[in-house]
Amino acid sequence: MLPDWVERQREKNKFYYYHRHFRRVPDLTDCTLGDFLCYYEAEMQWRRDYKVDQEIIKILQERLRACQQREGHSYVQNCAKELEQFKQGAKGYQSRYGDLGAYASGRKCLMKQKHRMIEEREREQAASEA
Amino acid sequence: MAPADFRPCDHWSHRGVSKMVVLSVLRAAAALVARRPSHKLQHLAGNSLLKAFPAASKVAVRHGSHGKQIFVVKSSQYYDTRFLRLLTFYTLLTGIPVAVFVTFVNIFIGEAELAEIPEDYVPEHWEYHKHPITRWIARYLYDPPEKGYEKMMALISIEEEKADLRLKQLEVRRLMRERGDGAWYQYETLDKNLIDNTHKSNPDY
Repeated sequence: MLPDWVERQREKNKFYYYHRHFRRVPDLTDCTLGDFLCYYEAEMQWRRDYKVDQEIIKILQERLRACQQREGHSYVQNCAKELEQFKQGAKGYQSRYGDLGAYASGRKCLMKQKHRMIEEREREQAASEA
Repeated sequence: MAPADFRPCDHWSHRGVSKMVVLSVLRAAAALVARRPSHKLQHLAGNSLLKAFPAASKVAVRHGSHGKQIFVVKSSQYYDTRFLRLLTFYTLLTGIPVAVFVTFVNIFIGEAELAEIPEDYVPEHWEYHKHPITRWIARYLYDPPEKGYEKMMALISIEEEKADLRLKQLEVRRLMRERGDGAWYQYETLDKNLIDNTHKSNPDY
């Protein structure tokens, strides 16, 4: 009864909220050297993507938590799918944003990616030689 | 627990000892205290509290409250309670109106619903928030985030132009000094018509 009365009160003045749509701007790799405006826009875009990835990880965690709560003691075999999803997501997150720290920036992330690619290339070379 | 008895020390009477004996014991104890030889040192100190009191077990004391401590000696709690009372009062003075206001907003106005952005409609910056109070603050108190973004971009472009011009100035300075055909690094020299060349036409020998 009470929630219905509250709903009727709220029906009188209804309003909506929307999600922001951001346009994609050129990346840090697409900026010419010394174009600081391009750097700034790329940095802002990277920060927004960082936030989005954090929320994705939170959603995966929430799913796993809900699954464990639902299944109770039989979560070990019933939650394998959610666990797999979470593991993949966490591995990707760690490899991309892992140890960047509090002062993370698009440049540092790019440098981390560069080192990852260098290590991968060295591993392939070592694997092809051996 | 014995029932409340308003006749003091009445339990002595069934033992055959009258009140007078108790009083005489007290008087004897008082006389004992008064007649104790006062030590010279304590007199010199001048503090009569330093005199030893008789042991509590030797003095017969009667409690009108049958052993329960009526006058409890402890520190004053007046200031502590006054502080807590005033703290709650001043916190609730604005706390309760704010809580009531927020409750009414939540009940009668309620939060916004999520909707897709309609075609050809650009929402205002406050329409991206859910709670009505956040929307009000974003609308009337805060600047739109686009404004902050554009301000930052303007600052960056100004600084970029400044840095660019400074580097150019250094390069221009270097080239003008090197080539000498520019506007800078021109030094005034003497007019050649003022030079007296007459003594230079004949050698000294």
